[in-house]
Formats: sequence, C-alpha cells, structure tokens
Amino acid sequence: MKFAMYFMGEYVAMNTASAVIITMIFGGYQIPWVSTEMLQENFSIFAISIMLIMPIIVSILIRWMQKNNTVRPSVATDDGRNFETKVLTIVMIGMTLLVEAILIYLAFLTDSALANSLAITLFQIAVFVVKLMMFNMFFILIRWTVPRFRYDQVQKLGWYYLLPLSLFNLAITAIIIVGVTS
Amino acid sequence: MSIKVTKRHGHSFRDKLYLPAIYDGVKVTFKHLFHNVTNINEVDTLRYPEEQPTDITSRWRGLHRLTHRADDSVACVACFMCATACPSNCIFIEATEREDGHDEKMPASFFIDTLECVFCGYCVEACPCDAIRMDTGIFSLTGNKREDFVMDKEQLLSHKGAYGEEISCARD
Ligand code: SF4
Ligand code: SF4
Repeated sequence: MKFAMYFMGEYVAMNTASAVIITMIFGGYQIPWVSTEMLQENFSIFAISIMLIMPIIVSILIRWMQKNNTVRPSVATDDGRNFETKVLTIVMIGMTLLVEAILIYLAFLTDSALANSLAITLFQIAVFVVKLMMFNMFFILIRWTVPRFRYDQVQKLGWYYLLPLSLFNLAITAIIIVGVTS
Repeated sequence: MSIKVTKRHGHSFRDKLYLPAIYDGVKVTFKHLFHNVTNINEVDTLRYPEEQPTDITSRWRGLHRLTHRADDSVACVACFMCATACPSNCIFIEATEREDGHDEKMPASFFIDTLECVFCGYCVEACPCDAIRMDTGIFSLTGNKREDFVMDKEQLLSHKGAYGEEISCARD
C-alpha cells in the first residue's frame, strides 16, 4: 500500500503537469478555434454534430469490446467476459440514447439559454478530460520510449538547444509586437 | 594490416538534438501500442487464471510430494537425509518404528514449511529412497494464514505426480 501511494503520487503529479500544460498552452477547455460564444450562438449545429459523432464513437468502442474483451479462442471456458461485454454494450447504448434525447430536447423543444450554457459547460469539461488523457498518454509514451534517459543529454538539450530557442522566440515575439503596435 | 575503424554515432547535428531520435522511438512505441490495443488476444501475455501455463516440464520443481510403495504405504524411511541437506532447514521429521515389515523406520510426522522452502530440490537429490519428489507441477499455493503453508505428511502424500510414475522407484 505504501508503494501504491508513492506510485499514485507519481501519476497525480503527471495529471497536474498535464492540466497545467493544457490550461497554459493548449487552450484549456475550449475546442480549437471554437469559442464558447460561438457554441452558444450556434447551439443547434453544435447539438446535431454531437448527436452524429457520439454514436460513431460508441459503436467503435462496442466493436473494440466485442473483438478484444474475450478470452483467447484456445481457452473457451469463460462466459463472464461475454456477459460483461453484453452488459456494457447495453449501458453504452442507453447512455447514448439518453444524451441524444437530452440534446434533442435542448436543441429543438426549448430555448432556455441557461440549459444550453449548462450543456456546453458539461461538454467543455469532457473536452478538458479528453485533452488531459491525451497528455497523460503522451507522458506515458515518452516514458515507455525513454525509460532511462541520460541526464547529461537532458542538460545539454535544455541548455544548448531549448534555451537559445526560447530566447530566439522571445526576441521574435518582441519584434513582432513592437512592429505591429507601433 | 589495416586497422578497422568503427564509425561512432552521435556526432551529427540531428543526433545531438536528441529529439528526432526520441520522435522515431515514440513512433515505434505507438505502433506497438496501437497494434496491441486493437488485437489484445495476439499479445503473448498469459491471461492467468483463465489461461493456465502449458510450458511446465517434468523437470520443473513444483510443490513436494511423498511417494508411495506398491502397497500404498509411505516410501520414506525417515533417514533425515533431506532435512540435513535442506539449506533452509524447513523439513521437520519425527521418526517412528515401522511395523508393517518393509523397513525399520518411517516418519510419524513429516512437515515442510513451504514459506521457508526455496524450492532448490536438494531434498529430492538427497533422498536415497526416491521418497520425496517435486514433480507435482503445482506452482500456486494459497492460504489464509501462515499455518496453511506448512504441509503435513497427509497433504504431502495426497499430492499426485503430474508426470506418471506414481510409486517410488527405490522402495517396493
Ligand atoms: S526444496 Fe530445498 S529448501 Fe525446499 S524443502 Fe527441499 S531442500 Fe529444503
Ligand atoms: S524423504 Fe527421503 S531423505 Fe527424507 S527422510 Fe524420507 S527417505 Fe530420508
């Protein structure tokens, strides 16, 4: 348990780092090039695209589950996983139907701005979580690829290449800002 | 004779940047990840306990057993050779007189503390009577308390050999 706490701390740190990176650099809870106001103004387009995309994602997930949540064919003893797949399929389809129903209600049957904002907020939370997971995945991929980096190489990379690059970036930004504003 | 010169890597600008190489590595890792996630049943990992190992050979040292004679009596003659050879001192034998006409001695009790056992197989090699063997193929031993892991004579006698030859080769 002590080791589990230590290891979990490692992953909590990873999540925090991802969250900070996303908030600072990768647009937080927004989808790229789409602002909250745009979503609110074009709510029916937003709702319809969600209604179209969600079944596609869910069907991909279900197909993945049917293919992979099985015991190897050579050991045909276990029905527990088939049962699990069945239950999860029903749950996922039910959830999709629920979301679709809510979206249809919001988009066509009511025009309460508050409800629309709430739906958009929930969607943006989901966007943030997806981004967070993508960054965690990226962290893990790097860890798998370079499990033991050489510290001198990291130092060299930082001091010789990344620091000059960021200074260069600073200079360019300054020139552009001064050039544009003056 | 010419001297063979090995070309060293890591001096080009691309190598010194490190990031291109890491990018190539990430590509390989991601390819494996994607393939494994989409074809989970092709991963060579045993789905224990639904799948059981199939590669346990007859020479593999599993849990101990005490062999029998042809008339089903215990083959052990309580000579203490195994207990003496055991590097972890986890065999505890108590000898008693034998009345059934086979030999003079037999174990009254025979305990192996499998929590201390290192599964070295020295007891099997030391035994002059082929009375103790590790060919049961049993690799997983579970219990709720430490006492569950101390095998007594009856338990050891009840284990079956996984590869034939039920009776002792040296005592009949
Ligand atoms: S396998 Fe080795 S440690 Fe275990 S009982 Fe036999 S001699 Fe002792
Ligand atoms: S198991 Fe073999 S070595 Fe051990 S006491 Fe019995 S006869 Fe002797």
